[in-house]
Amino acid sequence: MSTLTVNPVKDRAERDTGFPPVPELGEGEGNPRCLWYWDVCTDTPTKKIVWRGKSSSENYAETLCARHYAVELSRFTEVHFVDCEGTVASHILDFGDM
Amino acid sequence: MTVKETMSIEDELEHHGRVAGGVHPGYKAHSRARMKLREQLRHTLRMYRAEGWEMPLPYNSELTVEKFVLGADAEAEAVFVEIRGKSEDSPERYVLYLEEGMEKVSCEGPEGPVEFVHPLNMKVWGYAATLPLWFDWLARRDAQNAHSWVCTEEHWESEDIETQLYRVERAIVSFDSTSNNTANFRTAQEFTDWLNEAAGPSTAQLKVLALTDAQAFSAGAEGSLYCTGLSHQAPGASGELPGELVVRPLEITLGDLTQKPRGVRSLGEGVGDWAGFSLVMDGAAVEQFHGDDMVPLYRVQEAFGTGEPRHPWWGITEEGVDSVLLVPARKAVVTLRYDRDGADVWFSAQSEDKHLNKAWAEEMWARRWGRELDHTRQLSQQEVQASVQKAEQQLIELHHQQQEERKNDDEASTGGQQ
Ligand SMILES: [Zn+2]
Ligand SMILES: [Zn+2]
Repeated sequence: MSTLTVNPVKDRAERDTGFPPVPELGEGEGNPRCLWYWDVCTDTPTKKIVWRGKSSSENYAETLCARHYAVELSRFTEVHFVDCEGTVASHILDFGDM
Repeated sequence: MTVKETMSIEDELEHHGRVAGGVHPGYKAHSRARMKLREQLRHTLRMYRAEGWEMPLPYNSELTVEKFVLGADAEAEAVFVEIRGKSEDSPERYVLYLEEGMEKVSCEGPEGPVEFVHPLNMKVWGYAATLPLWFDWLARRDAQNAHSWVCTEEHWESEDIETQLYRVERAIVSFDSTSNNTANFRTAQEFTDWLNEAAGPSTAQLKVLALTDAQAFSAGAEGSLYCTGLSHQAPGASGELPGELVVRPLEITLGDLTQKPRGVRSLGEGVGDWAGFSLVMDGAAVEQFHGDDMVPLYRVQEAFGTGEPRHPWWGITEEGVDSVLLVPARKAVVTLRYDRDGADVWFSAQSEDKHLNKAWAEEMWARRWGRELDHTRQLSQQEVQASVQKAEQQLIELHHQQQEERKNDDEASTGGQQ
């Protein structure tokens, strides 16, 4: 059973799952479409989550519609820390309205 | 399968009340056994639902304890349940046979006996599971079936030229992620077949080898190379947990060799107990490859065969890539994931326990946020606003909690120095 996505954001997957990096992917700010990648979302993004990169040049703004923003934040809060020693602050620099 | 006459709890109570005047003494005894069984059944399911796991039902499931009804024959210890089917007008009917109370229950569906696969560690259990596990299985199936009523195949999911163009124009690509337990594979071929099926449209050609000669592997890989292993340490020793996937010098992980572990290290910063590799395909060729803790295949080729492993290890490799990753043949969950229509491929292995923790959290999250995740469901602006608020609040609460913990840790460590 396969699913479909628009413009998948790979570095996000890496951050979430620990998968080895696949280079030069990721869209970030300026994308006119919600970056949710589990299924096709054609909504315009209104919210952002700014993820902390390894260096400041690697900080990354994930732009999402409000619904997927809620889903993404909740997944981070409820699932991510099962196997991560980090904190909210070590991952997220900013979140809220774009 | 013959379908026996069934009666709902309410019907039966009413019926029982009507005949309780002493007209049918035989029925009374019969009924008492049924009532007892029913009590037991409801108790078990309630325990599981309420106190036991405190878990939400799968999103959109309509299964309730009350939908489980006893067969007319008390001796049979058969329980019937009807859930929603793939289409709205054809419900699916299941019979649960209580072979040994509520602990060993088998399930028969429209297509015959159902094999139970643990939903979190993907282990094939065979035909018996506990009653609560079947309840959860049925609840998930009920929800999935109902989802298929509204989620018909999307118009971009076909392979004709027009649809392909539509996808290219809109940058729509396919992706998927499938997991399995390595204990489910008997031969290297079985494992290989599963990997390539899981890789969907990808041109990657993954191959599984069976470790048949541990000595040859050690000799070829030498002590300087590392591989992943499952820890057999007692809790506390060197910070490992038993059954945890760790990296260590090769010679201690294999077969009969039982030297003391040395130089155990974790699989990488922030990564956890996990091993894997990634591929980027360009047509049929591997364009990029990244893997940690793998061994050059040419040095250990003689250690592998194609059938069943003689040591509890599989070797995973990709056609054209001269590296092999050792994966435990027990207590490990492997995941094959692809994206960009199969151009990107990730293979990973994780210890069963670690995988289970994560998969559990993920499943519970998906149940709690099922409404927001359901793309077939429109949400009002107010509903979305409420979800946003809840999600932000949770995050902020966790942040405060972590700050508090950090503060306490700092105070504790300063206190210790005085
Ligand atoms: Zn969206
Ligand atoms: Zn983390």
